Amino acid sequence: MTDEKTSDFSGPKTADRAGLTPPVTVEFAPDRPMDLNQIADRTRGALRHDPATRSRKLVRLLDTPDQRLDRAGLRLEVKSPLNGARSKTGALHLELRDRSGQDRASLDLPAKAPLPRFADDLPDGPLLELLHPIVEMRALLIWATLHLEEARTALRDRDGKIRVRLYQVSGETEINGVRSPIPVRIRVEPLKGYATNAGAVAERIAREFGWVVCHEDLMVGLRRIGMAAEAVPLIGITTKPRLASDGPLEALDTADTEPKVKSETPAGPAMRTLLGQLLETIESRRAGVIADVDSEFLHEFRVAVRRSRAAIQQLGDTLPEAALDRMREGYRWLGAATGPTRDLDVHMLALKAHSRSLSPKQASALVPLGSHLADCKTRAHKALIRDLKSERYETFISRCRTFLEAEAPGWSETEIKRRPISTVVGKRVVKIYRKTVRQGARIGPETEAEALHDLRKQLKKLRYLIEFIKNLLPKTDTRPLLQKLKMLQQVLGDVQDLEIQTEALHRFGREMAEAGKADPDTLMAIGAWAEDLDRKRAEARARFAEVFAPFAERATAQAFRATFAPKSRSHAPQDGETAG
Amino acid sequence: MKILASYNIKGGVGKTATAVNLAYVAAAQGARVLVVDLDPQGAASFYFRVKPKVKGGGKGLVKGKHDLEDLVKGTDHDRLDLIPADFSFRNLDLLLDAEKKSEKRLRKLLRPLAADYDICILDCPPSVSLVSEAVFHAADALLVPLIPTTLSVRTYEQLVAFRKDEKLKSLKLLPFFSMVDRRKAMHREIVEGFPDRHPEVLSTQIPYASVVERMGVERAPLGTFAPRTAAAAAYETLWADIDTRTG
Repeated sequence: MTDEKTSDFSGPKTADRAGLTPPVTVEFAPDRPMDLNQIADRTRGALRHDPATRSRKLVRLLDTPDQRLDRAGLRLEVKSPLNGARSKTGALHLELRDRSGQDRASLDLPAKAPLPRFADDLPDGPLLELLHPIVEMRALLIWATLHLEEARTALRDRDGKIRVRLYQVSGETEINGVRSPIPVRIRVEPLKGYATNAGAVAERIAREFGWVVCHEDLMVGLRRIGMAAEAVPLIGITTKPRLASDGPLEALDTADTEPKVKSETPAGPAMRTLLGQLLETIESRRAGVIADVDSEFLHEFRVAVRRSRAAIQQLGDTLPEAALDRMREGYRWLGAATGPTRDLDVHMLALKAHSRSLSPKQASALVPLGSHLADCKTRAHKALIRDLKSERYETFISRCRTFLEAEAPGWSETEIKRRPISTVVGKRVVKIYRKTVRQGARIGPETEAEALHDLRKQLKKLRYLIEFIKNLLPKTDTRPLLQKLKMLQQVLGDVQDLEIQTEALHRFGREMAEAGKADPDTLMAIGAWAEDLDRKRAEARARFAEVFAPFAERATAQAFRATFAPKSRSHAPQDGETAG
Repeated sequence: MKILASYNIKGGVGKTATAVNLAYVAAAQGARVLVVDLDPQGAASFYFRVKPKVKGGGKGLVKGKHDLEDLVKGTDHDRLDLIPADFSFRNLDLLLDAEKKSEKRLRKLLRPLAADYDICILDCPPSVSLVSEAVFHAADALLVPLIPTTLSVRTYEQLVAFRKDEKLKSLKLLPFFSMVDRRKAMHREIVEGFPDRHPEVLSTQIPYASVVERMGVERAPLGTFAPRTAAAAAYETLWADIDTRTG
């Protein structure tokens, strides 16, 4: 067997000098397509090459509306051959690749299978295992379609072993209906352990043809094309494509509401900016809610509504009174209008997660419940669409916008409107923190659930207030406080959500029994699930004291005061007592 | 990373064909698979057309002089890689003997590859030795191909006894019949009677087929040159059985 490094080329050192560092795939951007056989013939060295084959491919690129895969450095491609060629076991080939082009997991789907809408739709296997933790409940949507012409050949050693793969790819992209050409690329793909050969071939290509190495990742290029065409992918939702070089995104629900204000901005104008941003979030999620793309659109819509309500309730005195009543009423209405659909989303997500933990037989007993929930959701969603397309909605949004965008002369009428936003919000944070500590200290093992629910509401207000200004403060100060707050919120959230879910399950069971939609197996499975949830609720309830203690301890109280109201003369609790 | 070893005390029972074909099936279904050819004869490496040569040989491997990742060769098949054999692997026993905790050495060596592969299949040499002990400690399950003959069944029972003596409770044994010739009465009798004593046996049987022998000529897994044969279909079913049993 002759190793190619003994031939006319000297291996990795030479390749490194040319910047063609193996083992990464190297791409060239020639100015026009060429016969791949000719390229292979002139650059193969001691290897021999297979006759080049050509194929046409349709590649659809999927990602979530908030580009979770892109942010994780991954891309999900769905390939369908167009010339009748089939993949080994199916017609649709799904591949998850990282930025270096490395295949992380893949899957063949049968010819007529629909594209997976959610990660949950995939069968068990490596692709599901990799995708699910990243994608979670978000929908997988096509953000670009590639119409590719691909020629390929393999360079083999004397034993017939493939050492290098050569490709020539060209075609068009289609992003939101806008077609753009993809420049021709020649790709030299090394096989693991044979980087020397690939480096040598790449260097010969550079020398023989004078082509330069193309360093831009294909996906970065595609996103640039998308940006240039002002194409907004994903059914017109205003989630714009980002370049990988833009860096990581914050989670959407906070990124959208980070105030574009400075610490010293007077509270009145800052509130206007803040409410304006939240209004934009509401508006940008509306199309996704109406189209029911996934549950997160509605969730984020509702979070923005709740934050607006909290802002108005807590900081309303920084705004002209006349506008407040109308806004309070409007947001209350939106909260109520979106509630039923969101509740059903939560039940459906819980059912999916629960079914995954069951055996196929047990899970099948809950299928009628899934259908019942889907029916209820369809009805609730129709009502919600009516509301979101109503004149009342349009008028409300338009009035809010007019108010928030107006050049109001009276912003500095009173002292509070002139005081910096960080001072005003900071004081409220400390005040509510103390209130929650007092409330929590009264809660014992036997306290009614209502008290925990009230505490949860206050903690939400506290969280929203902190998030209004957290980017104006050092992360090292706010992060530990937010961690303690989140842990407490998690436990209280579990207690309440599991209670609501258990009650809802009993109700669904009754409704289904009355309508003759459930057999005994289904009712028993619902009952068993409800018992399981009730047990988990009791466990969460028992954890309250454990997570409340660090939140209420003296050091936390001092940290809250030092971080949010450093000049406050408020009294800190003594050792051994809570801050309340 | 799930680690499976194709193993039998006895030689010539289809261990390498099992390792190569199951690896191919798993990779074709989307898993990232690594085959480690521990047999100095290098049959798995031969089937994948990879030179049976490892940087540093068996000594370098056991001493961990090279990252195992550096020894990996890409095969001609997507998502399917190989650590080839080396003739010096014939001395792996001696080399392991010189190491502390030799039985845990292989597991330790494979650990860094866990993030890169979903499945690792060890193609083992026949015999009971320090190498096989290291394999037993590294693997989650042993895939044991059995020809339906009295001797083959006897060696399986020796293996069961060894597993018990060595207290290797967590090691699953997944025997299955290989090279089954339904025309032979003895094959039929053994295949039918075996599950009574060993209910752990997998239900899929690999038929005796000349196409499996052709793997040596084609130097490729069955799925590439004879995908529609009964033997290729049997390996696909066998993989589904193994996947289910090993979670």
